[in-house]
Amino acid sequence: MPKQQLDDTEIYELRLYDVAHGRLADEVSRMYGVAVDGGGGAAGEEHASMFDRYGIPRPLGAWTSITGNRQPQFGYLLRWNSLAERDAAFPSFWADPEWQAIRNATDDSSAIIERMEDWLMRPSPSWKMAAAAGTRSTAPGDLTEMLIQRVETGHVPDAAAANVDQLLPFLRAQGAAFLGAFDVVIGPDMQAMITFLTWPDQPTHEAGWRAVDDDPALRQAVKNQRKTFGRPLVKSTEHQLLKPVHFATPIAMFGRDAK
Amino acid sequence: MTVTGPYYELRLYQCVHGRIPEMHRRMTHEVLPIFAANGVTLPIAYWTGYGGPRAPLYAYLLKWESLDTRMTSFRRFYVDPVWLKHKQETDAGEQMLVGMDVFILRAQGDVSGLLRPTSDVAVPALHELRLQQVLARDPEAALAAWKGTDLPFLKSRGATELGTFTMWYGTRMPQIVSLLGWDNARARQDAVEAWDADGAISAVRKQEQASFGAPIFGRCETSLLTPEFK
Repeated sequence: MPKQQLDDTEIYELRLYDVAHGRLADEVSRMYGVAVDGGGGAAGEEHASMFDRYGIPRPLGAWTSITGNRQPQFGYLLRWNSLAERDAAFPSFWADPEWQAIRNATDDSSAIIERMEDWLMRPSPSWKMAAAAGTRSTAPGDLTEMLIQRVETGHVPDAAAANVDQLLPFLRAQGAAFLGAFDVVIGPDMQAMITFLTWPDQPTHEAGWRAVDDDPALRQAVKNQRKTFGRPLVKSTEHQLLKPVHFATPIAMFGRDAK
Repeated sequence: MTVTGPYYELRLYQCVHGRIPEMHRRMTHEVLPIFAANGVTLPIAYWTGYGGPRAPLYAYLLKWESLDTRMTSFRRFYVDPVWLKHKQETDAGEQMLVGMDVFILRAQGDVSGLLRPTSDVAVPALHELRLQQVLARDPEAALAAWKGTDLPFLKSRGATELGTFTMWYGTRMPQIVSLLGWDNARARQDAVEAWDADGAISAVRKQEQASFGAPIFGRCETSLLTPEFK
């Protein structure tokens, strides 16, 4: 099946869960059962999941966090064609007694999920340009970086251009590969851009970002932003290093065509 | 808990000090016509505020029948040449905003107390915005407690319920988002202190803690706001 073109009107939903201490494995296995394989099929075969039944798409990526400010955390990414579809699908799923029974049984005596973030994003207009420099799927053992950049209000296009022209090519030379880039449209601490990268391992990630800080050209670029805009375009950066779960390792461009 | 019906979009702007009066003037005089031209609904309420974690705050609330329409309308708005020109002129060299939060809410009951954007009649002088984190395991029970126990108490001490919502897309969910009206800050403070000290309310909290194994209400982020009119 030919891949679909990236479409700027698609909506991406990022769901990040604060998981109770000691319950990450429970959350991952519950998610696998609910989103991917409902169980009861022949050996080695997936059986329709509850997500399938309600038209909730398979996660484009699902992760547990290695670093970040919300640990222990589990998160996943969905793509929707319309929010009307989304706001019919999820409430039907939540209301299904089968889901409630699964949730109660897997929660056992205390809840797995304590709190969640639910953000809506659209593909960044810079996504195609960023991908043109190269993209690849998550390889075995890869880690995903979710790079959240809080941007001066009104300067998202400038900050996105700086990523495409300077930061992302540099990170690529350090061993990162680009997966996708988004602008947050509903959520806290906006305006925010979220870029997903895949790295072969943590030491490469660490060395890559050290090189960013040591690079005279990138430092000069920020100085130039101060001169042009009166301040750096990126106010603050959150680096979340994530471990893909086995049933939802992100593929290049989250499955969209770069052309 | 209501999961159907219209959506409410709460937009919270933390401003650079000194720019709040200009924000409201810009909004009502210059931005609204550009909203209208692009299908963005007109706000049903506006606020400014200097008490709370996002202060100085400029906020407004939109009502949408469809979020897909919301996405299309804002997309059109942001590329409208009139808007781009206006933004360039007003931002010129000076940032207006520190940052912003945009949340989508669902009404839980009657919110018509908010729908008086053009008149100051019967609108309390002081508004309180409460973002109340609730127990993820049973947000319905938390909503029932808020509506059945806490709101009636606060109302008996002078609060007006302007609107109760739950966060549908946003942060630190599940959260109950409430707007209360008060005659003044003193009345509000007296009521909140009485609420905190009330024996019957404490007994309910203990009972909830016993049956859920955790507090039903978590942290609450509170802002005191002044309603603004078009």
